[in-house]
Amino acid sequence: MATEQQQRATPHDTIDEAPRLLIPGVTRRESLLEYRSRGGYAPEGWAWSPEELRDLIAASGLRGRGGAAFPTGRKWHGVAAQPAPRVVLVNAAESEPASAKDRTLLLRRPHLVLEGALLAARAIEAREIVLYLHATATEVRASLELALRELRAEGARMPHVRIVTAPPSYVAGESSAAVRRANGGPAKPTFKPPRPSERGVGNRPTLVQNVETLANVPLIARHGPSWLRDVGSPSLPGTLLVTLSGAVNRPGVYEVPSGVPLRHIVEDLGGGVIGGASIQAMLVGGYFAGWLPPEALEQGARLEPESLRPWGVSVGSGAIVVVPDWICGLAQAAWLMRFFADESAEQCGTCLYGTRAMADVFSKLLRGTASQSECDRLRLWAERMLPGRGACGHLDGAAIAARTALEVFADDIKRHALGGGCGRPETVILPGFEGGVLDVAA
Amino acid sequence: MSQRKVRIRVDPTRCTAFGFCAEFLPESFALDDWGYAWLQARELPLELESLAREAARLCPTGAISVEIVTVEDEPEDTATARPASSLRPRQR
Repeated sequence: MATEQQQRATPHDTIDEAPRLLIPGVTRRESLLEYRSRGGYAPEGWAWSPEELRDLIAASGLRGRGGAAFPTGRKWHGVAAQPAPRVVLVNAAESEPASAKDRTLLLRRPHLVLEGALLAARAIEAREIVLYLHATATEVRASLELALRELRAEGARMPHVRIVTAPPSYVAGESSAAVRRANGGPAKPTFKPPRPSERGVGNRPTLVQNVETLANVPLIARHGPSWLRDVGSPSLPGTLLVTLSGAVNRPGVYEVPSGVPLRHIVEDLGGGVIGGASIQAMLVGGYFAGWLPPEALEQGARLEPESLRPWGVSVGSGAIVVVPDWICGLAQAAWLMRFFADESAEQCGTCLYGTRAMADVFSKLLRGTASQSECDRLRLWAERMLPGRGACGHLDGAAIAARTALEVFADDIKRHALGGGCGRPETVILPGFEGGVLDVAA
Repeated sequence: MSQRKVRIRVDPTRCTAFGFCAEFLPESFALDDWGYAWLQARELPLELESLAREAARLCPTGAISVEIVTVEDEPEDTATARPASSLRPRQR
């Protein structure tokens, strides 16, 4: 499913607010020569000792861009404290169907990401780098392989680099699933502890890092500890790559300072909603990060953790999907719950049954056949029984999707409860599933 | 101020819903709507260590692990550590 999205997405940057990772107006691949001319692999970035690099990244305030926003420096220090040999795993398995940012970076600026991975390897004194991709991401792989050939042709000395692929699935992008795959197993999460930082690839301490996170590293290494904080909100310094999709005039990948108003992203960058329609709801952060009501935009919600937290959603992976008022919102929510059920790795019983149970009640809400006790149960599952119960965050994502959907689509749920739906088309507009209609005949 | 506590973990990939834990140590384990172990309190007072270890031993799939940890006196994560009495799932 992620595959369809990856092939479909043709991001076009029309406006670049704070270009740092992306280059304004340039959509083709940057060669090694071009990357060098922009300061790539410059000696000043490589003058730091491993320990200085770790301190530098910690001081910069960089946080992970894969969804959890964990402080990168703390992660590096944690892995470096584990016994050698250590491994860097570049997580380029962009499994979030609404996100195309990592793919965009890797297609356009593979060396920025690769230099970040090489610097990370230096910082934790790793001898091996694993590039972890979806098996279907052939263009991304080609871009990275060409980058490696370009470096080798120059006689660059670098750690052993190995490419590992996984069949695309939602949970394949989770860090322990990546490690398990690199160890020859299925791309399914494992129970923590042990964490990848303790026991990862080849049982070695492994730093698993998202593509966009690593792309910031060479720039911080060149420009010093305060550079990242020059833009963005203090709690999440730097720029964010936003993948904007749904009913907007200009969908695409945009680089913005963190903390920009969501309204600005939708209206100024995205060109507003198609046909001038009103916004019914937005997914912010990706499929796992929750539904946001239009009031949040009106009240000035910004793309930063503190501003979104009161609404029960997170910055996540920066993927934003706009749902207009002329389609059935509850149908989108019900489809998303079915997605979580379908994408469960089926390793944890509570996830297997819990995601299905929630999806079933949402289907009934859509048909107006859910009983009061089923609604009460759904709320209990989403709020208390399911959070924190899985080996990975999948079940938490499903619970957040359910909790926020119950709030954001509350009026729609009431309308549907009267039977006969809401009179609007139930066509799905979620990226990767456009045009689908949830089959709830059974 | 810190104190020693018994920390219990359930590996959800191993739990197959035997339910012995909830019978044996209801202070810590409930069962969710599908019969899987639902931890009600991640940390227990040190006095319950032997009971916790017995619960772990009873688990047919070895899903439960027990360790002694030193925790700060600040309130624990409220999402996972609330009194067992306030959260009782429906009995199947």
